[in-house]
Amino acid sequence: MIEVKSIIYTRNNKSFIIDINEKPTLNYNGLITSIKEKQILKYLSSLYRIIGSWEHKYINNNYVDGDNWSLVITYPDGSKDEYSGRNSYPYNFESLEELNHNFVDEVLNV
Amino acid sequence: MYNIDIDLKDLLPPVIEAYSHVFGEEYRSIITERLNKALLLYYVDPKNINDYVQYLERCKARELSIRFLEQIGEDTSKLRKDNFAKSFDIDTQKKLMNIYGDFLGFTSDADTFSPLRAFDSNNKKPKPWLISNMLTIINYLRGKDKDEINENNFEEFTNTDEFKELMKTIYEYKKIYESLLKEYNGWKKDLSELENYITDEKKRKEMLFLKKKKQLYLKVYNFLPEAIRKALDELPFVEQIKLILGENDLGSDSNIEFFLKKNMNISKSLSNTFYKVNIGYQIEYLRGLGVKLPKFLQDVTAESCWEKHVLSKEDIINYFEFIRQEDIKKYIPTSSVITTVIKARKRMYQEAIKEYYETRDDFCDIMNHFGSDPYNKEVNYSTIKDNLICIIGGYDDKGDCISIMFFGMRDPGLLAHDFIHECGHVIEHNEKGIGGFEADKTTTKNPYDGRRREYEVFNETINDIFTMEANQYLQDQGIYLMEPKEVTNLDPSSVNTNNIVKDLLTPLIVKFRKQVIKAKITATPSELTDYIGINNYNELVDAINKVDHLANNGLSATLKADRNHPMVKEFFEQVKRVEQIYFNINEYYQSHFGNISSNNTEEVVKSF
Repeated sequence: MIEVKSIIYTRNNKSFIIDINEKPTLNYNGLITSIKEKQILKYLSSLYRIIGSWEHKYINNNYVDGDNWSLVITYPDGSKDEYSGRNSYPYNFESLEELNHNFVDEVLNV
Repeated sequence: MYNIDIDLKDLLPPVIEAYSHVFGEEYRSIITERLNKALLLYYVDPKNINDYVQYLERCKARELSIRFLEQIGEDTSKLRKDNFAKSFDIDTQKKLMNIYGDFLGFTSDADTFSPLRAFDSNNKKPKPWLISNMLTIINYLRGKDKDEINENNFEEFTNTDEFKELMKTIYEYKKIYESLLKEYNGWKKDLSELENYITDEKKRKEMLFLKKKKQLYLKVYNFLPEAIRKALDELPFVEQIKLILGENDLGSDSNIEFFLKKNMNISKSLSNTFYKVNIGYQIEYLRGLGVKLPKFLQDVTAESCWEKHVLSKEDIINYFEFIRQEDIKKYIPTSSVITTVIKARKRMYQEAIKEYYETRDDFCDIMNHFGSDPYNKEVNYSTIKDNLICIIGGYDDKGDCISIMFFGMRDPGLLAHDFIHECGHVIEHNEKGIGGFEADKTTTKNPYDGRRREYEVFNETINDIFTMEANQYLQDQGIYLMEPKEVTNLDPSSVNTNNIVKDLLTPLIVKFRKQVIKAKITATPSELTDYIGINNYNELVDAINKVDHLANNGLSATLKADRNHPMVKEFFEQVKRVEQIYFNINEYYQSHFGNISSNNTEEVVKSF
C-alpha cells in the first residue's frame, strides 16, 4: 500500500490528478486513464526530489492577470501537504511541470 | 496542417470590430489606437504545444468515435457533430471504452489498448493481454444479465454457437474501427510540424542540462571528502554523476542532499513517509559507493520506501545505528559540504534554464523588439519561463506608455478567448498605464484570498463577461480565431473567473452597461460609482470576493451535496446581501437621477 492517497496539481484551467486507490488513475485535463503502481512510485520519488525545499506559498501580485497554481498531496490519514502560488514560483517549478508532462506522455504512450 | 506560427497582429481587425460592437462605436478609435499600439509578443513553449497536440488528438478521437457509433447503428442524436471539444457523457464514454478501449481506441499502441484489436491475428501482444481485451468486449456485448466470461471459462466459451454469433458482430465492428483508425493515422501526419518542434526542443534542452550536470559534478567532486572521492574513482564517470547528483535534472535534489541534518531525524523517520524515503535515498547512495549493507537493508530502495511494509520501525532504528559506525560515517558528507553542493546545484540549474530559454528561437524573436537591454531581457525571460499570458506596462520609442502582451498557446480550445480577454485588458489600459476598475487600487489585498488584489475579481469578471460577448459576436458571424470551430471550447463561462460571480454581476451590466464600459475603458471607476454610490460599489466588490472565495473552495459540489452545509448557508447569505446591494443601488440612483429604465435586476438576482 502506497502511503499517499492523491496528488492534485492545478494551474489555471488545467488539472493533473493522481488518485491512488485500489485502481490508481491519472486524470489529466479530464482524460482519465489507469496507471500502474510502479509508475506512481517512480513519479513520487521524482516529485519528492523536486519539492523537498519548497515553501508553502509563492505570491507576486504585480501582474494584471493571475497565474494561479497549487499542488496538494493528500495522505491516507487525511493530512495534506499544500503548496500554492500566484505569478510566483519555486526556483525549480519547471522541473515539476516537466515531470508531470513526462508522466502523462509515459502513461498515454505505453 | 497545424502550424505553430501565429502573427497576433493579423488577429486585431476582427477583435477591434467585435469590441467596437460590444462597447459601442464611440469607443472604436480608442480601441483601435490602444490595440494597434500594443506590443503583442507570441511565445511557443513546447510543453504548451505538447498539451495542444494531445488536445487535438482527443477532439479527433471524439469525432471519429461518433462516426463509429453512427455506423454501428447507435443513437448519436444527443452528441454534437460540429464540435468535439467537450468530453462525452459517462454512458457514451463507457460504451466506447468497452468496444474501443482506452483513449477511445486511437493511440499509438492500438494493439495494446483496443479490445477490437485483440481479435487481429497479427497482434503479437502477450496472450493474457489479448484475452483480457477480448473478454472486455465479449462481456460488454453479452450484456450485464449473463454470467461473466473469464480467463478460466474463455476457452470453453469459444466453442459455443453464441461465441460464433458474437464474432460476426465483432468483426463488423472491427472493420469499421480499422477504417477510422486508418483515417486517424493519416490525420496525425498534419501534426508533424508540432510534434517535430516538441521533439527537437526536448532534445536540445536535455543536451544542455546534461552538459551543465557534468560541469556541476566536476565542481562538486572537489568539495567531497577523500573517502567518497576514492570510492567514486572506482566507478565509470557516468555512474559517478548519477550517484552524487541523481538521475533527474538539476532541479531535483541530489543524492547527497538526503544526508542534510534536518533529514536525519529518527523520530520523524518513524512517523513520516517523506523521512522514510530519505532513508531509501541514503541507502541507494551507500550501496552505489560499494558499502556492504546489512541484510535488512539490501532490497530497500527509495521507491520501495513509499510502501508501508518496507522498513519497519525496528529497521529504521537499526539503520541509524548502522550509519553511526566509523567505517560508514566516512562516506557521509558533512552539512557544510552538502550546503555548498546545494548552492552550486541551484546556481547551475538557474544558469541552465536561462540558457535554454534565451537561446530558443521565439525568445530571440521577442528580444528583437527590445535591443540588448538587460532589464527587458530579464522580464521577458521570467514571463516566458513561467508561461504567463498577461499584460505588462511598457514604453514605446517615443516614451509613450503602451501595453505589452505576452501570449502563448497555453489553453487548448480557449486560444481565442484568451487572446480577446487580453485585448480587453489592453483596451482598459489608459495612457498612464493603469487599468479598468483596478486603476490605482492595485496594492490592497482581497480579504478572503490573500493571493488576489481587492478589485481584481471584479475587474477580471467584468472583463470576462465582455470577452465572451465579443467572442460570441465573432462566432455568430462564423469567425473562429486561431482554432477551427470543431476544437473551440464553446462554453468558456467558467474560465478564468467563476460562473456564479459572473451571474451575480450580470444585473449591474444590464442596468449600468454604459457606465461600466466607460469606467472600464477610461480606468475611472467613478464613472460608475457616481451613479451607484461608492459604498454600494465597495459592498458589491466585497460580496463578489466572498462568493468567489466560496466558489474556489468547493461551493458548486457542496451545493449539490448538502444544502444545509455552512458554506451553502453563507453563499445564500451573500446572495441576499447582493440582492440588498442592488436594491440600495436602485435607491441611490433614483434619489440622485430619477427612475432607471430597465428593471429586471431583482429577477436576475432572485433566479439563484
